[in-house]
Amino acid sequence: MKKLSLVLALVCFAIGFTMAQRAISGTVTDEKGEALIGASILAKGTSTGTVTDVDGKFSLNLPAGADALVISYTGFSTQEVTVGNQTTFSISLVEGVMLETAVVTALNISRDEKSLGYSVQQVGGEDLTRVQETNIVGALAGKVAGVQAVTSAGSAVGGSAKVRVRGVSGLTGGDPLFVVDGTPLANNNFSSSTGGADYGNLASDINPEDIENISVLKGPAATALYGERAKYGVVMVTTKKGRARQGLGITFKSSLSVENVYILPEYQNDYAGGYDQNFIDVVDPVDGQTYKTLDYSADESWGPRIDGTVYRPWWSWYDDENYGETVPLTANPDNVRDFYDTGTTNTNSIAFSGGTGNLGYRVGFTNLNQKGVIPNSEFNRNNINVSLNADVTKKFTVIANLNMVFSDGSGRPSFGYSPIFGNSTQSFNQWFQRQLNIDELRNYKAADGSFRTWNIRSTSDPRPLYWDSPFFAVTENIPTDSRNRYFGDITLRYALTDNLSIQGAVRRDNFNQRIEERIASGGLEEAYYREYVADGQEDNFELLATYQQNFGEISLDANLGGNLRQNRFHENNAATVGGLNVPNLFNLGASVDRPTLSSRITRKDVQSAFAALNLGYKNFLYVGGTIRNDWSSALPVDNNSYLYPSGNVSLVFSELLGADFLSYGKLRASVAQVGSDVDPYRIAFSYGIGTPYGSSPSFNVPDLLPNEDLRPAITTSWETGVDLRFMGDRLGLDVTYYNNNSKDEILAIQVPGASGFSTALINAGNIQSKGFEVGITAEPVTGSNFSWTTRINFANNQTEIIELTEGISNYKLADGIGGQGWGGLTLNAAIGEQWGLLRGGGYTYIEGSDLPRINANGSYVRTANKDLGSILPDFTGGFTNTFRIYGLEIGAHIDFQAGGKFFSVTKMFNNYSGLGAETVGNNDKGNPIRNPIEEGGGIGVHGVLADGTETTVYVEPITYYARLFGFHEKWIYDASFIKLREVSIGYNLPKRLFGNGGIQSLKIALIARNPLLIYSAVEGIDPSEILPGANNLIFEERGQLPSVRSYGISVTLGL
Amino acid sequence: MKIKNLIYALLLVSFTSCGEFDDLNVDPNNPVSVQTGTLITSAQRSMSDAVGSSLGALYAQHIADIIYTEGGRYQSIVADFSTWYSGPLQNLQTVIDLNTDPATSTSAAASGSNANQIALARILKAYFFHFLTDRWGALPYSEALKARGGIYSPKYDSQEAIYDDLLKELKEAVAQMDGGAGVKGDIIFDGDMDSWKRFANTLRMNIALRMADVSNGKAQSEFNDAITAGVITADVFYPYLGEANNENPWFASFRTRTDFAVSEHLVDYLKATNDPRLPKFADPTLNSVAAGNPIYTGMPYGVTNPTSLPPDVSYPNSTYVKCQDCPLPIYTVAQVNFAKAEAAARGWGGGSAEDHFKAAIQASWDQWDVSYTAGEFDTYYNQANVKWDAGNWKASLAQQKWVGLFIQGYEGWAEWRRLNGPTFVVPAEPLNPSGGIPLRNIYPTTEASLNGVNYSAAVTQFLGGNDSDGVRLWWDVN
Repeated sequence: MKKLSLVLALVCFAIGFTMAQRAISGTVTDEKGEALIGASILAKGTSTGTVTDVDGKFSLNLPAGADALVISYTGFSTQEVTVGNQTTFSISLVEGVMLETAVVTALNISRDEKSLGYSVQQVGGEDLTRVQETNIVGALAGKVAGVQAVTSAGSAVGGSAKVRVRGVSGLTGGDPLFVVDGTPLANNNFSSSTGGADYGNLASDINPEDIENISVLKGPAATALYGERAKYGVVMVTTKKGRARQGLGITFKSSLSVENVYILPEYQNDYAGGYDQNFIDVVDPVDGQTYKTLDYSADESWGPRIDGTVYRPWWSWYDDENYGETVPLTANPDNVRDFYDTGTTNTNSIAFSGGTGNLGYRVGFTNLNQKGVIPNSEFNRNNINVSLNADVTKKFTVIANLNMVFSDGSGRPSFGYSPIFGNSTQSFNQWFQRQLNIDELRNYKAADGSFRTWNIRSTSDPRPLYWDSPFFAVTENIPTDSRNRYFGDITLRYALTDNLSIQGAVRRDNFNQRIEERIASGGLEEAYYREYVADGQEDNFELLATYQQNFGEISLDANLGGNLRQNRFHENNAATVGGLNVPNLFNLGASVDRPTLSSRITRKDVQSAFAALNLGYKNFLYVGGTIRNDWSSALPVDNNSYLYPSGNVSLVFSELLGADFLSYGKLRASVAQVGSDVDPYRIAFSYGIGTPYGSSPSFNVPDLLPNEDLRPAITTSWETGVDLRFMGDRLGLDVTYYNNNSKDEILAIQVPGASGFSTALINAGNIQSKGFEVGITAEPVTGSNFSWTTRINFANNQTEIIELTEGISNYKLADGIGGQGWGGLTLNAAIGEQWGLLRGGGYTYIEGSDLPRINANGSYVRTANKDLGSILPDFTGGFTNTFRIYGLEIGAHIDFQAGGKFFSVTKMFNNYSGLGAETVGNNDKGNPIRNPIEEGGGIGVHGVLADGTETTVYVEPITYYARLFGFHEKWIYDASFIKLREVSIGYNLPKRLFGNGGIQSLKIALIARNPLLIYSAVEGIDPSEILPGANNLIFEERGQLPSVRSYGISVTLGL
Repeated sequence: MKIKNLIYALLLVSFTSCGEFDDLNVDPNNPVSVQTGTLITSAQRSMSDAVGSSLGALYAQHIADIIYTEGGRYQSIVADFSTWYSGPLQNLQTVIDLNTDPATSTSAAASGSNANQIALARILKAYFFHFLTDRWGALPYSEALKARGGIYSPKYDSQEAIYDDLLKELKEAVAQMDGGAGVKGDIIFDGDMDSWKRFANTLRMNIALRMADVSNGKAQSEFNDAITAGVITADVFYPYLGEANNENPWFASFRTRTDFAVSEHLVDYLKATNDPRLPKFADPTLNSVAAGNPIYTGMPYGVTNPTSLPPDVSYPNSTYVKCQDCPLPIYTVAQVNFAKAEAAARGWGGGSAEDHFKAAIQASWDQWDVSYTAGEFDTYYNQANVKWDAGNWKASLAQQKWVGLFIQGYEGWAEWRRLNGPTFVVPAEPLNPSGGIPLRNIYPTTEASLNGVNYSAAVTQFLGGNDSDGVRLWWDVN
């Protein structure tokens, strides 16, 4: 508490001062004369400012020496007004200009951009919703320098999306904190991280249509006031608010787009299913005749050449009217694509907003309905947003925000490798027969209710061997889920004096999640039903005192606050075991054997005290600092308090230079620390509940050795940057360099299992992230009838492991699919290497040759545990162009990534199974590679033998690709891509068309989402969509669902 | 100063509920203490992973993969032993610790007398360590399971040292049984300590015999001592239950797939000798049953691109091997008799080798529920490729013991390595570094990275510098 007293003293010292100043007031409106609520007014060169009320009015005590006002508002051009002797102002802002100066910083404090000594980047709401992106995380892709967005496949409706801010700033990765109007939101993910339905991340409850803007706080200096959870950055969302206006404002927006499967691997269409090129001769037990058929027990495609031979297909062995039918063997090149439906995304939103003198309100309702391209997949979301802003008296303000979200999904497709619920796409791409006619498979149910599939055990035993019909999983094994979410705050603010205000806020985020998963009776897998229920709640009780005062040419802005956070979480998980005792009775009570049951409760409190102080000198030099102390209940009592400071400085040197070509120039620098704690219940020893044997319970000593001496972890960072604008802000350049060291992290390090534990919890490590971020903005053409604005951002990040703990040179982050049995792919944090290093099997080279070592039989000599590159990209960025031609607005947004490895199971088995286009064609002798070796076929393997002799050995493709199973180097790809993500062509109908009727504005836009993957380093997979559900470490794709492209129309009507 | 006081007051609101704050981190989900019997239950459930392992059955070539033959081509030769330590062994060590520590021994006695619990835990530890050392050889042993004592990186001990200590442990465990309350949570013998005594002696007999080629004197004395102390007289099975949480692993693997068949060379030998165990080991092929003419067909072992289809080969038997509650053998009377036959042949005494050999085969028939007359047995036994050949007893023994150990995979593999028979199939495209039939498992890659110093020392000292599957274990000298 000693340090806390110091902070208090500091603030009280500040309160002691008062200075002479001058009161001014005024109104801010848009071009049409509509009041702008919440517009920021700053006394130029100071940090003194205010925001307009619901009537667009403001009053301000102008510090001595301030000679101009800077007025800014999101989506409007910032204006500067000279004060002179004037005391009342009527200011009209012009809409739609790119550079903004007032930014939302930590704790929702709006500040002048120029006073910040760190980088904060803001994205306007319109940039998020232009093409009907439904997940705000996905909508951020490529829009903020240093922010990498990875999503799940587009065909996974309502699926997950993840952002990495400045690479990874912790050994195990992590997500930024999402904050809406000051309320922190949970971002749990109840999906599996390897396979099954993707239920999306909880931050996706935020409705893009309600967003006024998003401010991304990237480094610890920016996030220091959010404390321990902001280590991975903060995504601050400000929702739309009501503005004072005449009458009620109604905005109605409707968007409808249609989606089709976009990226699929390229398949071969020359050879049918089987393990060799011979048809199978089967004697029909009914007519005694011998028929040619295919080996349908094979889920690979090394079979006979597709040459029109008459044969009996799988469905002619089922006892029905088609029994005994023969057909010619023909190719079905579009069989996979024809499996998918045309999806739709339909968003309808209506918002009422308005206000009177002391009151502003907005009520928004949005309904989202998505029907996915995978049959029977559907997602619905209803968002209600209510915000209220009332000046009860001149000094007392009440702000309330309430968001309600009701979402439900049905038939969300399973991703991953052979999830028990079935992943039809994985079958198509990995284990399938190329010639299959998809329409025959639609009829997956026989008249007697039994299920039909192509992958029969034999012609006499038509039960499924490995695969049900692809239509079985998507029709019978339907998961359902629903979530109710409530979040918001009530904030009371009281101005004690003109300089000092105090604010108390109560914030709550509450969700309850329900998931029901099913496997129907009668298919390949045992019938199954699972119910998962979770309740989560976070309350924050926040108190904040704000003091603002100018002393001559010095401005002072101080905050002092405290926060109590309470997290409560409760989950129940139950699943049937041994099948269902009544077919398709999806009820826990129908479990044949004792169902698995578990429940878990977690509780954690964090108490915090913090202070911030910002000083400005004239209009060009700003110095700020913060200090925060947290007390976490999850840490040992003796070690649960941790304090961390930050400081930043900003120099607007253009004010000193006065050079005409340079309209704005700022240097900034900051240094900061952020402390962090651990999940609850990690310090004391307790037993794990094992599977009971009959009525005998079993318990286990846990694999994790807890630690009673844990300390909080501290991340230290510094950053510096420059912001330059030329030619009246028409050209802007913003560059940031940062360096971030995360030390003493609380890690579950692997220990030799023979010690009795597999992991031990310790404080260890030093992980360094550094990189630069560049943003360029330009308005090459500005005219009233034609304008062009362009924005480009890119960022580089290196995250290196400097130190782990004594005696440990590598921290294994994860095992790849199949573990050692599949060749032992691992993801690592190894000292001296980039974070996220893939290690696995690869080629062997000997000195003096660039060719891989091969054996005499043409197999590659495999080197295990070879370094195969980091999963972190070298560069990420985006490129956005907007053209305005008369009333027409054309926008295009591209995002890109260079580097970042991932392992593709789809590619590996696509070839292993003889499905891929790569497995056919001619060899260098001009013969089909699938021809027998002795007839000149085979794949020529070029390499060197042990003695260095260069040679080419021809190998049958089936053997060649079988040998490449678990040969990771072959199947690891760069996730580099350039993607045209968004295109919109909008037209604002001229206002004169509406006369004096109720219509204020009408905009019609044609929109396209993901219309073109311009470049990808890997064929058949969209590397920007490889997020596997709840997986934090995106390093392998086990059964990727297809990406989609969508085209649609959106209509916005203002009344 | 009013303001200042107000701020103080408001700030302090946050810190009023300190008592609750300190208690928040008590885990409401998991117990801090449990009945020690529940730890034993858990450790015993892990025995299923040893006796029901498909990988072991592949190594013993009792079983062959049908379509995906990577397992049988020894792809998983690098195997992880860590989970055996952090799992059952750690649970057993904890049972010993809780029954030893005066602070906890009284409450631990709720699961049986302290001495009996410790004895049972030591026997099971010996069982697991024997299983492990026969797969990998030298292992962390004397310094293992001591993380709570501060040893995170245990050194490796030679297999010889481990064998010595296992023999000592088993003797001491039997000696310390105190006639007090039997152990609760024991799913193998339901707390019958006499059965555990016999189990321990059988294990000791088996360990002694395995070291016969390297330490003949000690092997002989330990072997005879164990037999005298009393070995099992009934087969010991792992008792699976007819419910999915505790079901037979072969049943589980055949629930949705048909990956395994009985190997061709086993089926062919059984056919060649008209062995009545064939229909107990295997099912007739599905296609032959469908055609009304049931036949048994083995699956060729370890082929690269198999051409046999699942319905054309014989799966493990549905009544005796892969039903949901089919018990799987841990130690059998047949094993005891084969051991006695070998001891006699080695001149360790104990009667006629051939009589024990015959008794062993009969015990195996009994184990597999074969009904037969004495005449039928004699007909079978008197075939040249069955009968005891005193001049070449090792070959006779190896052949029949391999059959008698059917589905006891790891045990079958160990005896093949020791007895060098019968002839196994070497896959054409093996995936293990040695390219031959593996003689041991390779240490997990995590040992090199996590326990590097001790790992390197062990590889140098015990493996001649080469952590390969082609290196012989200590007892495997022929």
